[in-house]
Amino acid sequence: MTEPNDPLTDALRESLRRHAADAPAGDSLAERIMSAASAQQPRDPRPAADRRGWRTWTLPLIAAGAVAGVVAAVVGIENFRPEASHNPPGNATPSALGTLPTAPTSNPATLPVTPSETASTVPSGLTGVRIADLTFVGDNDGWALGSADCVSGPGRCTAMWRTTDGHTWASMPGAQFNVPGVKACADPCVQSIRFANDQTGYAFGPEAFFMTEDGGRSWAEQSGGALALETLDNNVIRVTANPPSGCPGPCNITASTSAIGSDSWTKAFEAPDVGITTAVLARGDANAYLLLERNTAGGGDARSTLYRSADDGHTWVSSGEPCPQLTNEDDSIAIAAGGGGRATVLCQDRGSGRGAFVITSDDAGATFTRRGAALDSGAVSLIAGDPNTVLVAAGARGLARSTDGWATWRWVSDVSGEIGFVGFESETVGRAVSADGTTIWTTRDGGATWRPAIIG
Amino acid sequence: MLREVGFAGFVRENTPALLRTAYLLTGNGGSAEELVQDTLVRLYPKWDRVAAADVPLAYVRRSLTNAYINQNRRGASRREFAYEDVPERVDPRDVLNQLADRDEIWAGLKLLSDRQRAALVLRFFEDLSDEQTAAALDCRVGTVRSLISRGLAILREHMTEVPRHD
Repeated sequence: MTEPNDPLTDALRESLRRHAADAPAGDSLAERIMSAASAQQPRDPRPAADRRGWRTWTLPLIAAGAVAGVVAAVVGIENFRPEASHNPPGNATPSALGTLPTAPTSNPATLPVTPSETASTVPSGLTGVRIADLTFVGDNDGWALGSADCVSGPGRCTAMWRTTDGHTWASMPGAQFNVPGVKACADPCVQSIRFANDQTGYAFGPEAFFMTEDGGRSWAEQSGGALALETLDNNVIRVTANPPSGCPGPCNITASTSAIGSDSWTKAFEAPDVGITTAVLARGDANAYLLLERNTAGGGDARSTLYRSADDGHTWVSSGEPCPQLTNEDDSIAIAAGGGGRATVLCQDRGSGRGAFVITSDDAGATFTRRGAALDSGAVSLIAGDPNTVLVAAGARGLARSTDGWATWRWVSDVSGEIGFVGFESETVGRAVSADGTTIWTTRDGGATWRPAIIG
Repeated sequence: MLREVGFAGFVRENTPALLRTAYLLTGNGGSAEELVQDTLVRLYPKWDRVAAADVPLAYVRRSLTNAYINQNRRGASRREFAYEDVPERVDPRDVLNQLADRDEIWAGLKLLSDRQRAALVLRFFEDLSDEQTAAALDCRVGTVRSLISRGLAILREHMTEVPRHD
């Protein structure tokens, strides 16, 4: 037994204390640990579609960004082609489709494991690739929708890619629709893609709707279209407008629900709002949020309306404009759903130059609290993540990140240029796409570091 | 989600402290990071149980210490040093003088068995009681006292053998 005041033990304490200060700071170790933990064997044996969790793909604003080709479930109704008429199911003209033939998929390249300051190129056998939308059913199991130079002949063609490891993308055939940038997106025009599990997925635009049950190898068209669609908990919420090109004016924005893989939809709710330009749908657990935005270019009241559901989209209530109205109008422009009733909204002031700011809720959108300092006006237009873990806001200025519910935030240096798409599949794994659709950034440490890849 | 949030919060809050302990055990920054990461990742699937413990940090620290001992036992990267006799105690004042160079103690720790070193780190760095140290090492209190006594004896012997550079 040691004796009290033993000089050896005193010296040992001092030595240990001083050497402990030499321990590595472990700046990114916590993030790596969480990434490694989440990459373990699935903890939840249920398929992805059954999980009650965090579906927080945050999708880009339409506006001018849509021209770049990064479009998703957020669709600007005013951008619809008023002259376009929707063909009945089965009336699509194959010759009108700019669909790529099967592109070479052998020997796909794998990105280096270590972060690189310069983007790595992931050969997909295609050139001129522009990613329009991404969807994931797990950290590494995803699909990309976009366009590329046609393999035979001039022009642009629709393309799809599949990854099962999160960084190797192989092109796949089967797309029977046009996308922005391909044949002026002639009908059927698809702008977004969502998968519920590794077999069942949806490709849609305001006037086109397709479903696959074989992982995207073939698609069956259903009637109507969708402005937004999200899958979770083995069910689907689909948002439509009627007529799709009818705004401004009565838009008849409708939320419908369905079981995954079904072609039978049940109308759950119709919003009374008029003059809607953008519909944003986000889901977390059983909570769903539908943010309807108005055109802020005019002189009238353009405040958004937030509708929320606590039962997977079956019933909805209005929360009005969640952004606090300060001296000028402040408009909601993006929403992200977290777990446990948490939600985050990005607010943008209208013309006063105060910039954008973040509000968060921990009661499923019933009330919100403003968080942190403002960002420059127009700097960000997207938000993703969960206030309890990591939040990112992205847009024209790049990507900003917070790990304290946006009390404080900082710009992420790994990501440069305008971002058109950002989302998280878990609290560690997320992806962002450049506004021009050429680069996909992946984070596996909760947004601390991002690794670029160019598909081409 | 609740488990993930709890795990994430614990990791962010306690990783620096666990790293310091791991560094004192392994004596190497890279090994310390690896030990902490392996320990926490291994505990993640049963995090509900960890979170329900009276002191989750103590639960994790015990896992970390055992991982260190077992890992080295498997890899045989460290050797047990057997001493037949505990050397006579030297004059404490002489020892204190010799300990002016802290690296001598640090170097002496390398002579200890993994369990001895772990016992000293937990007792004299973490300031755990003998009972808490025993819980962390999964052994009896008497064994802890023996490990500490033996470890200190080896350090003393090392100090008497280290040539001074005065």
